[in-house]
Amino acid sequence: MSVPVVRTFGLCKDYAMGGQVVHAVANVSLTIESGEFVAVTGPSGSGKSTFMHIIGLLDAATSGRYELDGVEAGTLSRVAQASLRSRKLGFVFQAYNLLARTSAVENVELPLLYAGVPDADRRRRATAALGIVGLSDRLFSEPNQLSGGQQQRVAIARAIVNDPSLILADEPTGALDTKANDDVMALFRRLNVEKGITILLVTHDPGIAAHANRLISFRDGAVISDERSRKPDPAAPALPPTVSA
Amino acid sequence: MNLKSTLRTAFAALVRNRARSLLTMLGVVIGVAAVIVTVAIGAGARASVQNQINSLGSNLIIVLPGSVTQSGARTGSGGASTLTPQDAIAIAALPDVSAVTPVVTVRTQVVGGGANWQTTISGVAPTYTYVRQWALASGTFFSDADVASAAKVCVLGQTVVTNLFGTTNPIGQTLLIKNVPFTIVGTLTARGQSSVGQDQDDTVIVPYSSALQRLTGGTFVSELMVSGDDQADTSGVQTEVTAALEQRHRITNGQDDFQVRNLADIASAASASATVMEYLLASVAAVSLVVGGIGIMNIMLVSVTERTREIGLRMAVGAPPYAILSQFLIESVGLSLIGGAIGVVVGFAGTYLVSMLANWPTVIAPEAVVIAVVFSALVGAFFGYYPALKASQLNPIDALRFE
Repeated sequence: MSVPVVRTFGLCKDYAMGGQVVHAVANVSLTIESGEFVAVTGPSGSGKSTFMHIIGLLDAATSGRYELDGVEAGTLSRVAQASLRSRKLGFVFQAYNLLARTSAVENVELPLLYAGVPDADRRRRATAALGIVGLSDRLFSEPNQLSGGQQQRVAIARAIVNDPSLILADEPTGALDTKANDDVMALFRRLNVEKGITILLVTHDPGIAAHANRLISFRDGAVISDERSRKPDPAAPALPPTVSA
Repeated sequence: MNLKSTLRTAFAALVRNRARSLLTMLGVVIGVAAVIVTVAIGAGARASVQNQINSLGSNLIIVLPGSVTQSGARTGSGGASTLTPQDAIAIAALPDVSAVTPVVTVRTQVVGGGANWQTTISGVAPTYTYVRQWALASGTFFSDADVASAAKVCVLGQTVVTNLFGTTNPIGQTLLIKNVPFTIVGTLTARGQSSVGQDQDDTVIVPYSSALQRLTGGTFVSELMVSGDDQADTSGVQTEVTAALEQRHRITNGQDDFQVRNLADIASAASASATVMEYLLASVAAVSLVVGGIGIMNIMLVSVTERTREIGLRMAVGAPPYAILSQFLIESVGLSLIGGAIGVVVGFAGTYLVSMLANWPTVIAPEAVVIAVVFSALVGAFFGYYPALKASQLNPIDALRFE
């Protein structure tokens, strides 16, 4: 068994709010193995998004430890964290977050730009990533010329272009209609099954969460359940149950 | 992320926001153009002051009679009659003196061409044209022979020509000065106003001997104009002239009956005041450049706020803080450099227009152009740094969630 992609030990995140301390994430210890497709659910305010932000190195934990690919990541400098995000993480957001007035292929190239990939290589890899999400014919379309589903697929191409260890998706289907919803989820499944990409998906929608192999539920900052789906993906290795807080 | 990609990213952002970029640049464009135009006007003014001073003559030293005390009353400067044409001849022999002319001044009515006019008659030597650096417009100047014979010949300034003869050629005609008929042999080129506002062209020039014998009836001259050698130090010449005259006038107690004035001092004072004016103009223009810089800071701050989510995204996909910092810094320096370049073009055009329309002399100073452009880049870097730093220090998640 390879090193787990994510390992957290007693992760906590506190906010001071009106003189009171709110525990957004409370003592979460869990492990995500390579190749897993994990859905994190819970009502709003349950801490699932904050947990994802800490995993994505977008936010810092108040206490506890976090290892990404076996490397202590939570306490690294901002520059080192940026480098980890660049090499190991891919993000998909609810609002797509594409650069306006910038072509699809240039949007996808963005992570490679910061990773210092040479010009020609960048264009080639971005084109390939857009091919994987089925947008080979829209390379030079700008976001306002694309539908919501297409924009989200551009965002997914951007997330996979640097061959990350982990894709973090925050309510990726929240702004989409049912049809686009299905397309995006099918794409995630395919990326997980065919490419073996580890995915951590945050959603409040049980229908979306059902696409995953493992379901983690949050409430009041703590994990209240962590279960593998009844139909584990045949490509994914069978895993022992992991520790939950 | 290398420099090339950073540059490209920054310029892509500027192009994406074309209208805003142009408006931001406007402040710097105006600032740089204003600096170039005002410095050009200032330098032009100084050059023209310098020109007028040069027009007085090259290395000019003026010797005036001193004051004397008569029955207890002291006359003012120039009140005494102490200088003679022989003093001029003696000074001309000094090693560092290239030319000398005595000047006998009489103000009187002259008649010619069927009209009359009051003007200043100057009796001088033929060296006068050299000492005053004044060329003839037509005809000839009188000669040493004319001086020796106290010939009744004269040369007219352009104001006198215009008022007496209009457009007809005055050469060969007769001018009555104190009822003495003088033949007009030449005219001087127009010189315009002196630095103190006197019309230099309102004059009639005659041989000094003729002026003394036929107009004033004396032997003393009003002043001596001495032109020092080009290489000689003017104050050295001044000392030589003083020593020579003291010897001729047998003065041993240091109480000179003459004064020696050096125009170089007057020239440097006038030039200094023009320089002060130039700096004054340039500093007003520099203020507008600073205001332009503050405009850039405003827009960059707005831009950082407006693009907070973009910054968050760039950080999420792996941009380190310094990449964000350099992107925004390059954006603002780029804006002000492009604005500076446009400002130089506008400044040249504006300078040309000022010379054309207002007919002011202008001199474009290359150093002003360089300073304006370098300063505009510094303005961009200085005023862009704070917003850029602010952008780079954002927490990625706060930036991403910014509404």
